[in-house]
Amino acid sequence: MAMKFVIEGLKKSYDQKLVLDDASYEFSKGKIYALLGRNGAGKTTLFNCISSDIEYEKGKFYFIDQEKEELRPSDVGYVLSTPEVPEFLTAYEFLKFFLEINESKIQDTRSIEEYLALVNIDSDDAHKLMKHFSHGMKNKMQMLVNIIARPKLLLLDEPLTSLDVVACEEMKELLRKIKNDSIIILSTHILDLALDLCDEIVLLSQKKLSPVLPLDLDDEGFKEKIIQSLRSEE
Amino acid sequence: MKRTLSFTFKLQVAYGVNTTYYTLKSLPLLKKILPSSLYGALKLKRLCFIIYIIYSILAIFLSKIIYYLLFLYLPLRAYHTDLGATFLHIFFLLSLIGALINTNVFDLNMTNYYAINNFRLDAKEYIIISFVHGLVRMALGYLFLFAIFGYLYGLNAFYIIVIILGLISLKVMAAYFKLCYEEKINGKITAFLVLVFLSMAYLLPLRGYVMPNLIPLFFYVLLIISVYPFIMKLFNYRNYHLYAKRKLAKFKNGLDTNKGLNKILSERNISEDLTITSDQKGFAYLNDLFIKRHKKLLYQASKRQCIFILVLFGFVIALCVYLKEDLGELRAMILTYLPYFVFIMYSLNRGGEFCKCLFMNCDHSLLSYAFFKKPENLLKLFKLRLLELVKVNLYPALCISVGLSLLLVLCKDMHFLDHFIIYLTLISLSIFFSIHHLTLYYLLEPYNLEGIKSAGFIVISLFTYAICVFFMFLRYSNLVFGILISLFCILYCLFAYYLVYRFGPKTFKLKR
Repeated sequence: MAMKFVIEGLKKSYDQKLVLDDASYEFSKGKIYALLGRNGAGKTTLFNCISSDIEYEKGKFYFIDQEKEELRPSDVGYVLSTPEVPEFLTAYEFLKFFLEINESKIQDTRSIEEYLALVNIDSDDAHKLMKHFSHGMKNKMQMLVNIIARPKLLLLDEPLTSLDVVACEEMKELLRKIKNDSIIILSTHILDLALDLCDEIVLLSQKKLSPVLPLDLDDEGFKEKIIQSLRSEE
Repeated sequence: MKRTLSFTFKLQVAYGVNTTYYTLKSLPLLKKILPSSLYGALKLKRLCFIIYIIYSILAIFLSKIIYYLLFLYLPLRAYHTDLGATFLHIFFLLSLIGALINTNVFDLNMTNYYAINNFRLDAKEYIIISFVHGLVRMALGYLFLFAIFGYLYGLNAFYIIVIILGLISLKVMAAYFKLCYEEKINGKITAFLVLVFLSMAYLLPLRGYVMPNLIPLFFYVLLIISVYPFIMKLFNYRNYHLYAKRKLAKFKNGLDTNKGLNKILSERNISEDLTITSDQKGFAYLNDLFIKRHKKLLYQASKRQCIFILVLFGFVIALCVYLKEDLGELRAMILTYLPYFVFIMYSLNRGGEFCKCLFMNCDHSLLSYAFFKKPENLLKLFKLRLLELVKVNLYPALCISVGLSLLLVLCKDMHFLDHFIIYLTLISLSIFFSIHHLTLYYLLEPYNLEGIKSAGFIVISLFTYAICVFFMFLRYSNLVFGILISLFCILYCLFAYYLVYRFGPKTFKLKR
């Protein structure tokens, strides 16, 4: 049985505003999940709860592999929608630092150059300060660092939204390559991206998580069904 | 003009009111009671508006009172010259320094950015209105100050009006030069002039030389008479829009990607020198590169402080040698005024800047990575950073210690203990403030990209400031004070380290 990640009865509110109410779901390893929801539905809040960046009122997160395991913050790789990289370092230095810190955990370690090649960052760019990097390049670095450690769970918050077409295709390809290593949940409000890249679609609507059954992912009727589900929130 | 005036007022009030609400909302007790939805609640907005207006008015007067106490009242106690003439002598020279280094035509701040870039207000009207607003605040502040303390120095209503109009004229002229010749103004010449005026202000009265009242008043009248063409030039200046855009362009790229102003300004402190490397490993590698790439920000200020301190002590020593007076009084002063150095060491400490830079250029990004947030990693880095911060602050502390020690030698005080206590106290204080800043940073994580600090942090900072000011008025024997302060520092360090160890992993995280 493939490893599963379980969200159970999550409740989160900001002041009096309830954002997530008894949200539950089971995710399996080897698949890319699209977390689809309208702007402000609570996708980033859900990710922040999972990564222990914010507190929540109720709920549990755990893995089921051979046995039940509590989720630890170090199990989570979290790629933010606005990429965050230490801008006083070069890409090469950031990667060197990261590899040294996680030396004991990384299997089949490769050279820094090989890692950078994975996300198509050439040697010229590798030695530039990251404060001069474009949004897309910072995004690639953030993604790279998050996937090297092969976290059990990889959360991607709107990762492809502001990338150009080439960078977007490169990132999609990378995600497809690594999907067998982790449980990948990708939040987006772009339906076509969800349909193109992901194996399953999870709707975050009316404060709850619900599956969209994969009847026929190319069918226009299916798209319409998702839009209807999201509209019902109004 | 009317539309710009009304909009400028509304914008500043809206920004001020929302900042007030944000500050109230981050106070420990109010945090849970006040919901975000109340940003739209009219009654609360009115309350915040009242608080903001009271704060704005108080700020005008408080800043002038602090200025008066620090730069006029306290130094005036040291002179034996005519009080009224000495007051005006120092005040006039300080006003020249203010014109040189404290004249802002258009600040880099978010309100100005919104006004010009987002709301597209007429740059000329907006800048003139803001500048006049600043002048009115300044005039009110001085009017208040002179109304209360003026009689002490024999300032009658006529003198007060002349001084205030003279100050306004001086600011107008300085604004004109800043607007038209900002790029050409030489920083070194400015610094030299500041030093000359500062020396004239505070050293001449020591030798009994002060300007007779008529001289400053004559200059103020001269300024008032000659200000008219400058006012016209300010009104007729055509390139306000370009001036504003040129200034805002310095951080335009950052703002395009929703970074805060402080983040953008902070990023400029990163050295572009790619020959900088490090042979350390892991967190030591990260810390080493951070320090090397921010050397200018961290060590340059410390270096400048050291030079200033050494020059100052050199000057005082030369003066003592030249005056050949009985130095017994000076020795007694050094030994009993040691508590005064609590405030000085607090003011010199670079901890605040260091922590802000750590957040903006390093921790803000790395705190989003799980590996960085691990408790053992946070503590590893805390230790490395503490060592570095202690080092940065130690140089000025050592310079002051050496200076005081040399003065004691000049006073023929060769008691080892007297010298030892000075070194012990100043070094302890320097270490204490370094730990204090870093501990607060780890326990409260007070920054965000806009640089707005948490209310808890502001309260503790004000409290620390008040205590340091309180120490200025304490007189203790150096031995008792030195031992007490060193013991306190050791205990505080242990306690702070425990707090960071115990709570840091929970508290040191991004505020989302």
